[in-house]
Amino acid sequence: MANLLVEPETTVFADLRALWEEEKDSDTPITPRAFSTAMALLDYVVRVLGDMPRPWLVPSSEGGITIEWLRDDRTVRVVIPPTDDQVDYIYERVGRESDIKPLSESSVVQSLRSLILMP
Amino acid sequence: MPETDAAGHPNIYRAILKRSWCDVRSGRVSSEAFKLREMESGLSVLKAGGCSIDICLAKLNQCFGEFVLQTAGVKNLGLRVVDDDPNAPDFSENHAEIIGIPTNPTTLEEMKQVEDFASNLAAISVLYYDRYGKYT
Repeated sequence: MANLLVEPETTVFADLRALWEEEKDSDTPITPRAFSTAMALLDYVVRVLGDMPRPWLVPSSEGGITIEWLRDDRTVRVVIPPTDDQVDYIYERVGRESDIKPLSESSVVQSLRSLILMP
Repeated sequence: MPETDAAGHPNIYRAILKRSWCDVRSGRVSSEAFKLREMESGLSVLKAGGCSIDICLAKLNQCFGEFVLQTAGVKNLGLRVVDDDPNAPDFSENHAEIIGIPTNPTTLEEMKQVEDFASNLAAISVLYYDRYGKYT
């Protein structure tokens, strides 16, 4: 008998895999480095925060990935370049004010809590 | 390179290289559409639209359509829009570049400028041409 209790893959991971597949045949496919970094980051964020707003996953023109959370005029954007010789970072924006910092998993959670998940 | 005449060309057009650069649900334009590649000195734009499903005026292998921006709006962001150099071997009457964005940023401050410009350009862009009907 089929197991009807199998849960579907969490949407954000399915979205990331779909983007990876969609970009496979493009001129600049997502690099394995960008994909695995994005997957590890999202896994951490989901484990720590549980339910979270669905991010906008966007490929760069050179094989990187941007993960973006938006709420009103607030943005938390994680930029993951295609190669190791470039810097991963978090860009935050509220209205016209912005800030940037190097990427770490805990910084992303902190940014989401303060800018996106706040009441 | 001569400044693009904003009166003669009030709008400029940016190719959509990746389907996800425009969000189907919200119509929002991604800032990724306005980031320079490693070898680029400016963002390529067309001075006149007019692509069709068979013809890509930007001569790209993969193009999902075009965003449109007001030329004056781009200049108001502190950027320049310039025509091709008429003496350049790859001169095109219909091609221009948005310049003033840091190229190959290495510091966080330069990366922040890149993100600020990309965010501002995305905010003044709207979908103009949907080549494959992906956004409707």
